[in-house]
Amino acid sequence: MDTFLQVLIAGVTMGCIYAFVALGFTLTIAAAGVVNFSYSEWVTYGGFFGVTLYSIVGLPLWAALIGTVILCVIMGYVFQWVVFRPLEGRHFLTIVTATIGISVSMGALATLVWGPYPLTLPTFFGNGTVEFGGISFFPHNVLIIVLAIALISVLQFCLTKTDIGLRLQATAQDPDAARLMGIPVRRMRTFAYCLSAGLAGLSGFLVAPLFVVTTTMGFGLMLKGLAATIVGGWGSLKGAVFGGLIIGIVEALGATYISSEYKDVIAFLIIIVVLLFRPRGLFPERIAEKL
Amino acid sequence: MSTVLKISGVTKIFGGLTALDSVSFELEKGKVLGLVGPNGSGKSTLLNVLSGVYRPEGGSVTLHERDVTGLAPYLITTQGMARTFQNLQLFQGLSVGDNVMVGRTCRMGSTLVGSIFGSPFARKEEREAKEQARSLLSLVGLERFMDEPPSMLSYGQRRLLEIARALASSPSVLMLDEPCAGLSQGEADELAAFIRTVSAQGTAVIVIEHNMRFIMGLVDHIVALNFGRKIAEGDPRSIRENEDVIAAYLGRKKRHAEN
Amino acid sequence: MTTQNPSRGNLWRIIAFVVLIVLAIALPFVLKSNYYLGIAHQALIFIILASGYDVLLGFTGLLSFGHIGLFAIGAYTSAIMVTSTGAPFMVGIVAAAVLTGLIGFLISIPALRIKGHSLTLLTLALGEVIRLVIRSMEWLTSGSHGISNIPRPEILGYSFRQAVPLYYLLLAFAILTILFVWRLRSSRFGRAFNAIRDSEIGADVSGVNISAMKMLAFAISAVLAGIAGGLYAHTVRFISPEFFSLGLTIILLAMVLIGGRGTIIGPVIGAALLITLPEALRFVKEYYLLAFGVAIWMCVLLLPDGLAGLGKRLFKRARAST
Repeated sequence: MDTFLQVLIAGVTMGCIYAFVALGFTLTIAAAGVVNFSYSEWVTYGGFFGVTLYSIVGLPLWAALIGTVILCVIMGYVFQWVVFRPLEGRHFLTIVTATIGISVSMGALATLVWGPYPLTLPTFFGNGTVEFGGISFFPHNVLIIVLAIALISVLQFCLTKTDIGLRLQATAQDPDAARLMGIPVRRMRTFAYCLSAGLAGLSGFLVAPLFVVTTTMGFGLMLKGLAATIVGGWGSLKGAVFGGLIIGIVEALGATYISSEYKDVIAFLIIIVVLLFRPRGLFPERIAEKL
Repeated sequence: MSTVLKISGVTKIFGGLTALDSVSFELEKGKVLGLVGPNGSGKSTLLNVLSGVYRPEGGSVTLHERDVTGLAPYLITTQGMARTFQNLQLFQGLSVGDNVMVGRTCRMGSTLVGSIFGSPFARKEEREAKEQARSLLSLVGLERFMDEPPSMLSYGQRRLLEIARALASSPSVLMLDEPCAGLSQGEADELAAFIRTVSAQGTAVIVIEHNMRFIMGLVDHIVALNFGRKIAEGDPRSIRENEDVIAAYLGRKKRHAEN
Repeated sequence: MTTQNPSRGNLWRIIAFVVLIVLAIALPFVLKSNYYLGIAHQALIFIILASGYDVLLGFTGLLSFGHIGLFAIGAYTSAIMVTSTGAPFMVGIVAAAVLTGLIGFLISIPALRIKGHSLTLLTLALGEVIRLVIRSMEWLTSGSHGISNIPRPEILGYSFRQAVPLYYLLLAFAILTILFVWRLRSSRFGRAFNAIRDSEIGADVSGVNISAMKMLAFAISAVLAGIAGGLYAHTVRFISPEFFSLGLTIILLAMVLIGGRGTIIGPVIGAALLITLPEALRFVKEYYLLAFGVAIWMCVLLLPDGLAGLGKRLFKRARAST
């Protein structure tokens, strides 16, 4: 029973990371209809920025976290101007391929800037475990889960109760109507990109201590995030969160009770099964039928 | 009575909205039928049902005494009913001539192997398809554009191209969705003459149009829809004097004038 | 966008093609070393693979991210058949073509009702699953160890073990592939594929059996992938699951997009370029990757028709001004 609970917590932890990644990924899909395949590098850069700010600049860890998020938000802003604006309205294939190309370049750039060797980022709590109720777990994992709950609640509140949140939702659901109502669509989209980038930075920073920071760190996460998006429902923020959690838990259970060899396959099998039987995901956004 | 197409009790429901409510009429060989009605009356929906894009919730569509209700679009075209689109669905990456030749696909039976290796049968089919495309294009006056991309054509010419493509399958019934939209008066007159030629050769034609003048001078028979129901049917003169039709159009017009 | 050119344009194409073949035949005399010939081998194999991929992407408009999985199946099928059962090379290639074609056909069935990004993600997942399954079936594929000592092709007693004869064998396959794709494009099937790409509903009401055509496109591209895979296995003589990665998928996509999708010459240019360029720029690998990524981005942004499209436009302009 202990093991099961531990596995579950590990699964929920990774699930929260996947949820962050999926949320950030879905934000641009929902707000701008853009599938940003360079998102994996945004996450990776989150890790690298964290390492730089902490190890090289020497900031305390919490400051490095904030700095990382800020840097990533700036990156998101720059991307909006340099990459996504010229690509506006273009075919899905064009945007996917362009962001893939950028992803490759960013990966190469990362290797040039930070070197080919893996880097490390510590947690806030050291490497020890904590005992609670007879179960031992890593405080860092708890932090992730707590942050996830906090962030998602804040996001939920902002989106539904604040002005800017409602405007963002309007932009996502019907950009033309939003424009007619005087909502600055482009600014909303920029906001979405920045938010998406911020989430990427956060994910990268939080996940870095669990593995190591390499150029491929973000790629695996993005694939899981992608799986979460498909499971949850394309373009659905709620779906992204639940999808991430589901993938994290199923993966952890599968790795422990079936085989850890097949851990990677699980996410892909989930993608396949969902696409075949529930292509719109578990929490699909209702998109108006345009006749 | 050579009925080619029989539509019986066709009903189409979207969620809570009944777009078509038990619509019935018949179409005879070589006749031109006008489908009229104000915006939102269900004309395009009916066309989509007839061409297989939508499946009706009720009723039947019979072509040459064969039930084609709810068949996939390509099968309906194979059975002999072709259509054009109001917002044009041309193949921008193919030449004008190739666009028309695609329309003939359902009448071609060459195998892949035959096509690749140039079997006599495949070559003959290709030749015939090309000749047919050429003659159809010259019928609409577009022969000189045969090897050009559709982007070279004017809007009116593109509409003609779509009609030529639809005719390539040698259909028994041709359905035109707002063929006049965006055409000049002269072009509309040419189109009317062309439709007359097509129907004279035995093809039955259904025309959806707003342009009442175009319809009146062209069609043999009119079916008028409003709110998804057939409100009137008859020859152009009687429809023009039909009170329900006038109310349907004028009712809107009157409200329009008041605002 | 490419359209059929009038017959004078066709004459130019045939001339260009013949010139290209002559140059290709002369190439081994220019490239003396086996090393460079090895690069040429790879280029020819990827020409076959990319041409097949373009049938799916450029012709029919179906973006599949799992094509490398089919490539892998082709490679492993032929490798296993020849090394384990001692079957002759041509049997291995035919087996690779048939099995891969079949699997491509099976993949197309669920793909029929899935559109756009979902199709891309489904094929991505399938491609990866194929790779991981190959890796895990150790009793058959030796898993991560890969299969080594795959013999060079041998047909009716004649061995293609040497680099130069192998080059001509691969060139023959490549030329046949190009001819096949050329004939396909001007056939009713090629037109149907393009129609589906440009307007699925337009094609549907024009009498094109969308489902059947999509399945055919998948099958054809899969068969070519299978052949390319088999040829690859017997050329480099060692295959492992790591090679058939998502990274390779990106390279394959780039070949078609940079070369020019929907054209015959596009995949050829793209494959040749993306195989030879990394070799030329090997010493600056990271810079190469950096430039590569930017090139992909710029290409889809500015040159939707790729280099082939650019070439055609320049050619037309040159002809118009004379």
